[in-house]
Amino acid sequence: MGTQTALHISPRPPRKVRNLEEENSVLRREIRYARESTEITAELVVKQFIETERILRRFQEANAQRKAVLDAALQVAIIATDTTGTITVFNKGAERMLRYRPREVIGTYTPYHFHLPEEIATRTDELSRMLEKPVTTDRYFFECAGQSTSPEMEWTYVRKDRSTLPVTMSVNPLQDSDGSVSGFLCMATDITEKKRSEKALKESESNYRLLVNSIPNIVFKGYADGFIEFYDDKIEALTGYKRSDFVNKKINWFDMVLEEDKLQVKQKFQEALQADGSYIREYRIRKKNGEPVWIEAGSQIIRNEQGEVEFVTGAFLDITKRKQAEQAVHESEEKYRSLFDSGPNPIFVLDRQTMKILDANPSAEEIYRIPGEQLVGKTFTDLGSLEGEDITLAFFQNGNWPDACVDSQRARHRIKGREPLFIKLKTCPIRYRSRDAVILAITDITDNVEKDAQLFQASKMTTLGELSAGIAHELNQPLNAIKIGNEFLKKSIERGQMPSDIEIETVATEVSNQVNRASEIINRLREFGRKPDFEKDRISVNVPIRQVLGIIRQQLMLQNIEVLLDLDNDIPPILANANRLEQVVFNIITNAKDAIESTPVSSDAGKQARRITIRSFFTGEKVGFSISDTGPGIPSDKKEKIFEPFFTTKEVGKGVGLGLSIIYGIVRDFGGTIDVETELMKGTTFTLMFPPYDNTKSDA
Amino acid sequence: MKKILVIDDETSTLSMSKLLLGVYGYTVFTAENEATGLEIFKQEKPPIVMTDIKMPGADGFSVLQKIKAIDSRTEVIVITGHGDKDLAKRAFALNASAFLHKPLQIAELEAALKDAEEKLGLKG
Repeated sequence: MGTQTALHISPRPPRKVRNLEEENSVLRREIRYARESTEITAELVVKQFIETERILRRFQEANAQRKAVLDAALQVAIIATDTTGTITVFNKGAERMLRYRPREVIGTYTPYHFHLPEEIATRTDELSRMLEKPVTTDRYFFECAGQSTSPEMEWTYVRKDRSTLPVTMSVNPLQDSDGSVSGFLCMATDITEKKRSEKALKESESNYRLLVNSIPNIVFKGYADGFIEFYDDKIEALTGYKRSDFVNKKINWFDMVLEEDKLQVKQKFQEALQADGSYIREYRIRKKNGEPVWIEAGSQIIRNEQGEVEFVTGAFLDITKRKQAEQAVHESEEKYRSLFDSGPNPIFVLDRQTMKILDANPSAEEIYRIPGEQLVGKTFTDLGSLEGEDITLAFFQNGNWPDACVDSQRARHRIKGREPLFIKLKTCPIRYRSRDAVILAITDITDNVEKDAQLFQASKMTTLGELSAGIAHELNQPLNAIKIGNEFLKKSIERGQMPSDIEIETVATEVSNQVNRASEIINRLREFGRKPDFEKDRISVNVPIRQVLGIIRQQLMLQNIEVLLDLDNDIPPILANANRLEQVVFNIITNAKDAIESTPVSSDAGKQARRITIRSFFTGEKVGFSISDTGPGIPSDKKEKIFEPFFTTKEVGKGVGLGLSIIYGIVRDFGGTIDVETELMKGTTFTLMFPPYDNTKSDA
Repeated sequence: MKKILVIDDETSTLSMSKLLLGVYGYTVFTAENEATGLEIFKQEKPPIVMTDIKMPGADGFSVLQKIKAIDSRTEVIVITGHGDKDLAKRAFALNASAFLHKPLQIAELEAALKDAEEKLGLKG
């Protein structure tokens, strides 16, 4: 920095003028001074300009971001003062920034005018501490300018309208040629924009940081050499390595990848290079403690302008838990798969919407005798028509599968060219391979049904054996009449007395009637002895009652048991199997008979009545019939048990205790209920109720 | 003409018996139940009664007992469709003159009738 003087130089001419020459020389000197001072002034201005330029350059160099701002000279406020601090220079930049006219401030104000007193006070305090000497606020800028290095500091400028703006300002001394300070120069740059962008940047940065910190993903930037850097410390928790280990290239990411996954990792990258550069990889890395960690990384290859790979950026996630869960699911699936595959019962998985079979187990193939691949895609009813009263059957028609598991009763699956399968169905809604599906578990109860039928048959035959005396008596009646008629004809001829036409006709008619009667009895027996099937028909409950009485009435009569029949002939029909319903009636009547027989004849009940009363009725909702006896009743502690299999109140050897349990099953099959009312020493009434068969219903 | 009363709940048996016994020269009365039977018995006093046992309303034996009570000389032939030795024993204990099984064997019937006639002859 060269010599400097004050910008205002006022020549001072000598007052003593003695001669012209002297005066002339004085004048000449004055002119020279004036000229010189002008020259000096001009030179100073240039110098100042150069200096300004230099400072500007320094600003430029110091902060490239402010280049544009500084390029416009108008953006720099230049204010110079004299030794007293009074403003002597106030450039266009200052004018623009502070909104004062130069003439308003030059010679009037000091630069303090544009500052906040409290800011000056704070800075003065700071300076006092730095210089370790007391500085007064009015001397602040002088002291500041006096420092060898003039720091550029941020200030708040106060405009004429009292509004404020942030600036960076440097304070430099103005020195006279002798080096003494003649004032100071303030150069300020408006940093409103910078501040705003700094603030925005800060906010944006903090948002970004927040984002990076708060997302579970670990954001990374990776390079072709396998090194990688991270934006936060989450990587430390994941790998056990310090973030700095990666940044300082102590650890190469690719080295951490498990050997068996490396090939796949490379391949994916190569594929992405050929494509749009984005890729997702799942692979394992080895943690510092040796544990493997599954990660899923979504990456994007970033290329430079030349199209070369510059770096890869993306984020990855620890998916170990998910992988473990997937593994667990897989294992669980395998476990269930093995249950599915080895289960002895057929299991189908049906699509809930289309009803098509999605999967079937080997048992299904075996029992339905269709290979699995042929089962898939068919509907369950394609396999054969389903018959029965079962609720689940409706689901196959209307597709309204319930959201809970449903256990079914017996249904019949009629498969072409085969004996029908008797099955029980259990349906459960599930998700199967991300589809709404229904598990259809089938129990083939054909064997059970067969055994039921055999058991029933056996019990019937036993009863028939017990009834043989009654049946014999029953058959002997028509045989007797036929025999007597025939003997009459024979005897008449033997004695030579030809019977009259009327007599012959009487005998012929009677014989014919009695033969019919006998064959009726035989037919009833044959009907009764027939092995039951499970077809249901529309029948009146009166029919099986009459049928059974036809067989058993004689026996009852032989045992002095009266039968009181009170049948309503106007009751609606029910849907049932006549033969099986006969078993029900038969069994209950036999029980009633046995109960009456067990009553000691000497007792009052025994003397009063030996009667079975059978009624049929229609309640308006249900069709029912009741069978009452005048037996000893069932003790209350046994009443609950009578429908249990193998429970019997009869003497050892008299009954196996299957009757009522089978009856219960049959009645339930027909949608009916069975109820027992019993009173000790008075008798027992079994009441059976069935839903009437509605003809208007278009049912199978 | 010898009178004979047949009691049986089987009308077919009654009508056929009437024809057959007519061939043997009897005047045949029939009754479908005990009450009617006893009434006819009292009215017609037939020396021979054929009765079925096990009829609705009353035990066949009660007819036997009642007839014997009215006239102990009456020959009562008991007939049953129920082949039971105990029944036969009970019948004989109550002084039945014969015990026949349904369907009737003509030889047995003839023997029983003959037997009854002989007894009646002795009595008479």
